[in-house]
Formats: sequence, structure tokens, C-alpha cells
Amino acid sequence: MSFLSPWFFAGLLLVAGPIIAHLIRRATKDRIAFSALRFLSPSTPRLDRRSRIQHPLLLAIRCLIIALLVLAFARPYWMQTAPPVETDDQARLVITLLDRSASMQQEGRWENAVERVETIVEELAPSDVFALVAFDNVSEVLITAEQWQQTLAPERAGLVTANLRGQSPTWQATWVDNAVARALETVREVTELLGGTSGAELIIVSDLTTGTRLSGLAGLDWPADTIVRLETVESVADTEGFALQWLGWGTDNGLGAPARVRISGAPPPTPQTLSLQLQDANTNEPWGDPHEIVMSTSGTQLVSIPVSNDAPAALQIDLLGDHSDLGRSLYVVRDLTREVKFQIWGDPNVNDTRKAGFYLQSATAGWRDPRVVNPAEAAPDSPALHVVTGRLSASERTELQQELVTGAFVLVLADSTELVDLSAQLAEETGWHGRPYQPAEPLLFGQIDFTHPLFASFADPRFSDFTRIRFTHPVEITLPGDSAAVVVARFDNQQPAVLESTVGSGRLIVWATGWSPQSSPWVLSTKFVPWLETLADRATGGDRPVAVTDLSQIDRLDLPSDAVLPDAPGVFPVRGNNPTSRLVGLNVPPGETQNTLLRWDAFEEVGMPLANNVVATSVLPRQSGPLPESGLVSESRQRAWRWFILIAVGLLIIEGLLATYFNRRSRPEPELAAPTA
Amino acid sequence: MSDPPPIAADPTALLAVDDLELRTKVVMEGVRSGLHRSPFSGFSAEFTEYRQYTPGDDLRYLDWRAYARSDRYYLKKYEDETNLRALVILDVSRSMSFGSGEHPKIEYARTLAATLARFLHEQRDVVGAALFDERVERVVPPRWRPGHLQHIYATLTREPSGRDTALGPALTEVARLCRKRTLLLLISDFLSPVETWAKELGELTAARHDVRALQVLDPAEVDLNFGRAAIWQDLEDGATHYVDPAQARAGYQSRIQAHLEAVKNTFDHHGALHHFTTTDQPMADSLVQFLQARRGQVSSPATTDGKVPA
Repeated sequence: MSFLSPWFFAGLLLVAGPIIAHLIRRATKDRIAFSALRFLSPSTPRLDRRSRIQHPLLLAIRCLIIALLVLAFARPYWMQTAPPVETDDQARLVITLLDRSASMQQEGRWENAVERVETIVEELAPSDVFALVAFDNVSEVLITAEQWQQTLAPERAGLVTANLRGQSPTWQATWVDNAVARALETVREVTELLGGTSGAELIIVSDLTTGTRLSGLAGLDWPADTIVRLETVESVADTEGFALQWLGWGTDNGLGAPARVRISGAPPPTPQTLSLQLQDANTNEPWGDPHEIVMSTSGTQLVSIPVSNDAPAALQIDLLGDHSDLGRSLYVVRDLTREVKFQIWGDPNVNDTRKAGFYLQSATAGWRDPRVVNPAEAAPDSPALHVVTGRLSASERTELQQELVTGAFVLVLADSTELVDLSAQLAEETGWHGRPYQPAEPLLFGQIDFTHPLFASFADPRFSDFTRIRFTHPVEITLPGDSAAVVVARFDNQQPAVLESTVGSGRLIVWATGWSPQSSPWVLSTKFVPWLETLADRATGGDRPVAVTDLSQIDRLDLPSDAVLPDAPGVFPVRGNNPTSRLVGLNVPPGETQNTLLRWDAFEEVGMPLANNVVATSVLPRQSGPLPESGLVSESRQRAWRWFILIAVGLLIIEGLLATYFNRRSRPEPELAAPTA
Repeated sequence: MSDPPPIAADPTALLAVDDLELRTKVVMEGVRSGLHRSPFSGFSAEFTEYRQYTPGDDLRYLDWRAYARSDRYYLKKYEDETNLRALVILDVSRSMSFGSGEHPKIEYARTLAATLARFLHEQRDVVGAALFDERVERVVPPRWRPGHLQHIYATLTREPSGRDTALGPALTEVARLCRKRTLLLLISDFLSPVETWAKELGELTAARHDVRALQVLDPAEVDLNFGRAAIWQDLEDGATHYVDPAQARAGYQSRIQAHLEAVKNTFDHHGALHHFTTTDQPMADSLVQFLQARRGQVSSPATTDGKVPA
């Protein structure tokens, strides 16, 4: 007898419970009502000295019930052989899934895998149907079943060899689930085409390390009589090396953001000294001295490598002193500091605490991303954020209009009719009317569109309370019916409070009130700086683009559809939706650098019908007899646990009857009744 | 003392009789045979007040004997106060529902209360009854009129409400109810801590009420010859302990004796009569001893282990 979950035997410790209970002499569940309990002191329960065990029969039954339940939970089964799935006179469908992911780049693995596939082909009977699928994070059918059948038997081995010769491992991730799904599609297609086979066998030839993706297997619908065989291939070289994993850039302490990496691998028996060397990814010139790392025996180390501001934009981090093939180099690109030109127009007084300029200046001081720069110091094509707080001259108006059209963000704090008119001019619309007024009661925001980027960051209910912000000097803005301006927020009297309009490639944002503390506590609220920073972030193009990723995440780089995708680790210029290109560091998917083998039961957990419950580590000879059935299959067919549960229930009933009998018999002689109140 | 009726000698047999009135008749037989004369007398004997005659007073109340002795006119106002006002106060809290035998303490105490009421009624004293637990639950004011005794029986027969004992507040309420000087016959197990009701008892006696307490306990409450090792639960506050009576008996007896002593001393201190009985005693004997008790004297039946508890 074998057990699928033997760890449940730890539950046998529960047998101690009834034994202890039976050693206690007095049953403490009896209750006696008494009127003067406060004069009684509690007694200590005693062990029966006359007889160590009370009701041994009852105890035995209780222990047996626990043991049976434990046995049932351990899911016992008897090893049996599965009915043979192959006969000489029936066609057998064999689909081989060949792993060509990055982990197969390890020395010797790919050659081993190719050899394994060729051996499988040699083992096939002439009537068998064969298909070959190569996979990494995408699956490609190299030889279809139809193609196999159309090829003469003596030429089939050549067909396979020719196809394999044109293949090589890629730098992508191992997504076995995709490949199996593709293979099952083939099984269904072939079954329909041939009108039935004696079953399909999927043979996965892979290194099957822990980086293999299996999650999609759980939802697969397995055709009947389909079994899976696992064939692992190993590297000829020692794979007990370390690999680098990119964690990200650390916090810039003024000298530059440090590079944070994790070094992981098999735990070394003694601390091992390694070093990390930075080099320019473009010129391969070393940059700075190597950083020595002492790897502890835990096998994992987090390292923060200082990178000063004058370092090259693209860097390669090399692990020295280790012999692993994969993951010894990381390609990283330093985050570019985004800059935004920031200028206050109209009333640029930033020292008067009664003016909005003071608060704008204070709020933007010290921003790191995007960094606020003076227009005079900024590059000409830098994104810009302009805030209008007062009247403008005609030349300023023209200049601002030009900025707006070319992509700048302009924020107008319209606290007067003139500024509403200016907003209309900037929006290139007519028919805007502004009228300052003083409401009887201060106004609040009555309606805010939290789906709009201006207020989206406050959409969480924890931050969406704007009721403390009151406006005493609003301006009533009336828009023409055909205005393209979007009202993002309204006052509680339904008048527009915040407007946004797209002008050229820029954005015009209009507040129907000034920002002086006298007219509103907005600039003093905790929402003011985040709102302004969100606006500046939008002005610089939105979220910071990804600078370092791995090859399996390449589709998240938001590349144009016609872009040529890199197929190996390195630093590449990419051109997203922005006109200028930027550098991106692409690395080996982190899972591919792991060398630990997957547990075989990980496949059973996701419902894969394995043909053998041990992973084959050598080329399997042709199966001439019945295959041994996997534990899961045997157990689920036999379901011996149900019998144990049934016996336990029966014993439970007997136990109940016996306990009642013993309880009645052991009641004290002339019972002194204690009536309840 | 002549022998009481045979059934009266066995409280268990007597309490098996459902009818309270019938039980009181049986006990009364024993009481009559045990008492030579009534221990209760109108307050006039002790509290007859003399005052000088003033013109206009009713000459019917003139005390001619006093005039003969002292040659002064005195008025003696005793006619209104000749009859005794009595109130039988019965504890009906949850602790009274305890009984180690077939009947709980409350049945024994209820029969005593009914018999006392009957006794007083028959000698034409005005008698009432009150039930208390956390507070005074029901009151039949002291009266003498036909059918009043049945009213008292009906009140005493009501089932207890199942609340805790709070003797102190109940005594305060009794003092509020009894404006006139009254003989208060208090029947309870007095198991609650003395300090929770001693002050209120003092207030009652200070108001010149005649307080006489009859403490009724189950024999098991005195000697703990009861029960088995189990979880014991307090009838009133629901507290639970694991108790093995064999282990706990000695400690319990010393503590309950100390409590009984404290109860007795409290009543003595406040000038109130206290009598102790257990439910295995013939009721007539308990009543006779109670009725014959005088201040400063306590006659208590022997407990099952021969000790005198108070």
C-alpha cells in the first residue's frame, strides 16, 4: 500500500487525546447546581489510581476512529499497472514538445534534448503518428502529423533531423502550459482526421527547472487516453552557479541611484567570494572597480552597487568568479531624469503668501521626477507646464499660445473676466463668458470626474473627500454649446469649476477661481501638491517608461507594431509612441537562470495525467509492456479512502451507543438531584 | 410539648402535599400543641403612651387606673394599636430553589411563611406577605378581613422569578413600604455576604420595626454531604468550579460556619431575632422554636453532624 499524502500520518498524534481523557477519573462535563458555591474552593481533577484506563473498549474504538480518519486523509492506494495503451496493430499518436527556451542555452542541454528527440523517433513503430512542437514562450509546430504521414517511413528520421538542425535555443521563457495546450489541439485535430487512435502520448523534452510556467495547465481539458511523459535533459557542465536578477534602481541619495541586484544560486558549502563589474554596455569598457561580494551559505545575496551620476546611461553588470552560463550579465539603463519647464505667468510674485505664486513655488521645490526647471535652463524640447495667475501682455499671450499648441500644459487660474477671456483665446474658442461673484455661502466641489486624469489619483474613497475645500470668490464661466472644453469638476451650484481643453498637442486647464488662500484653502490642503505633481507628470508624458526588463516582457514596452523585436539580451534603442527613441535594457527571463528541478508532483497538482510517477532522466526504451500507473491515477480510481471513512462512521455510531451505555451505568448511586432554578 | 401529627414530623412527607393551606393546617396543629401562649402581642403592651389630658380629648380613653394611682388624668391610646401588624417576607431568589432531597428549600420556607401568616391571622392580627429576590417582587399589605389569608396563600404559592438575591435593596424597599411599626418575619437562606445587607437591616431596626429572621438552609448546605466530583455551578451567578466534595468538604464547613456566625452576630448586633433551621427538621418544631425565641436567645436545631451552626 502506498499513500498519496503520507504527511497526514502526523494526525496519529491526536490519538493521545482520547487516551488522556480516559486517564482522567472524573468526567468533568457533569454539572451540579449549588446555592453556596462561593464557600467552595475548586478541586483539582485526579487521575484514577485504581484503574489507569476507564472503558478500554471505548478508548480502543475512539483511537481506531482517529486512525481510520488519518488513514483516509493519507489517501492510500495499491500500485497497479495501467491497462496497456498501445498495441502493435493500432496507430499511436506521439507528440514531442521540445523546449528551446533560454535555459536550454546551458552547455550541453540543447544537444542532449535533440538527441533525445531523435531517439524517441527511432523508437516509433511504422504505424505511429508523430508530431514535433518546439516551444519557449510561444509554441511552433515543426512537424505536423499530416506531414509525418505523408513522409515515407525511411525518410522520417531525416525529416526530424533536418528540422532540428535549423533550431537553436532562444532567450525566452519556458511556458510549458502554452505548448501542452497547442499539443492537445493537435491531438484533437489528428483524432478527428484519423478517426481515432489508441491514445496520444505527449513527451515533454525539457530541463524542467522551477522557472517553467505550469499555471495554465490547471484549466486544460485532457482528451481521454492521453498520457504525458516527462523527459528531463541535463547540462553536461556543472550548473551549480549563481545568477543575477535585476531588482531596480535604488533611491537617489544625491550621488546617483544605486543599482539593486540579487545574486542567487545553490547554497555554497562555504562562503564564496564573487565580484560584480560594471561596464559601458555600448563600448564594453569597464566602468569603475569591481565590487567584491562574499556569498553566504544561504545562496542568496542582495547587493546595492553605487552608480554615480556621471556613469554611462547603459550599463552591463557582470558577475565575475562564477562559471554559470546563464544570468551572469545584466543589461541595465539608468532612469533618465525627466524635466519639466515650469513658469508662472501674469503675477510672478513668489514671495507674497497671499498670492498663488508663493504656493506654486513652494509646492514644486525639490521635485525629483519630474524635476522642475527654469525655462531658461531647460532644453528647448523639454515638456512645459505654465501657470497663468494674472493678466498677460499681447506678446506674452502669443508666446503662451505658441507653447500650448506645441505640446505644453497651460493652467489658467481664472479669477477675473479678463482671465476667462484669455482662456477662451487660448482654447481658440469664442463665446466664453466669465463673471466673478460672491456666493452667500462658500461653494464646494459638487461634482468631480474621478475618471479624468486630473483627479484620477484621488479616486480612492480615502482621498476623495473635497468637502473641506471651499471657494468664496468663484467666477461663473459660461461656455458656448459647441465648446470642446470638458468640465472636469463643478461647484455645488453646478457652475463649472475645472475645465480642460485640448489645443494643438497641448492641454489647457482652467480653474474658475483664483488660488489665493483668501479665496480658497485649496493651496493649503493636502491635495494641492499631489494634484500639481500629477499635472506635471502628465505634462512630461505620463508614467516613467520602463528602462530595464526581460525578454518575456517585451510586449509591455508599448512598441509600435512594425518595430523589430530584439531576440537576445542587451541594450536596445526602442521607439514607443514618443518621437524620440530611448534605451531599454533587456535581460534573460529570471526563471530561466534557475537550475533547481521542478518537483514531479507539481505536474500532478495541475491535473496532468502522467504516465510515470518518476521523471525519466534517461532516454526511455520503447514501452513494450503496460506502463506503471501514476499514484494519483491509481488513488483516484481506487478511492480506498471512502471505505475508511465508512468504517469510521460505523465505529462512530457504535462509540456513541457504548458511551451512552457507560454513561448511564456509571451515574452515581442514589443520584442527588439538583433542581435548576 | 405534645407530639405533633405524624405527617408534621416528616417534612418530606408534608411537602408532598400540594395544597399549601392544607400543609399550614397540619403545621398549625403542631404549633398549637407546642405553644402555651402566643408569643406575639400588640404593641400596646410595650408602647402604650400616656399623655396628659387636655380639654377636648375623648373621655373614653381616660386611664382611670392611672388616675387612681397618680391623681392625674392620662389618656391611653392603645385601641388603634392593639392588633399586631405583621409582614411575612419570603426570599424567592434562585438560591432558594436548591434542595439536596426531593423538595427545594423554597417549599419548606413557603410552608413556614404560610403557617406564620395563618397563626397571626387566627389571633386576629393584621398580617401581610411579601416576596423578594433582587427587589420586593410582590406585596400583600397587612390586613385583617375575610379571604385575606387565601390572598396571602395565593401570593406565596407563586413560582419564584429566578433572579439573584439582593437582600440589602429588598430591605430598603420593605422599610419604604412599612411606614407603621411592623413585625417583620424574614425567611431566607441568608447566603449572601453579610456586608451587603447589614446596613439596611440596621435601618429597619432603627425604624423601630420588630425584625425576626428565620434562616432556612438545606442540610447539604451545612455539611456538604452531597453531590460528586463534577463541575459545580452557582445557582445565582452561574459561576462554575470543578469540585470534588470529598476534597472540598472540610474547607466548606469551616467557611459556612463562619458565615452563619456572622449572620447571627449581625442580627444580634442590630437587636433582631435570628433563628436557624434546616429543611430536614419538622416544620412545627422549627416554628415553635422560632416563635419561642427571645432577643438574645437563639434556639437552633442540631445539624446533621451534631454541631450547632449558630
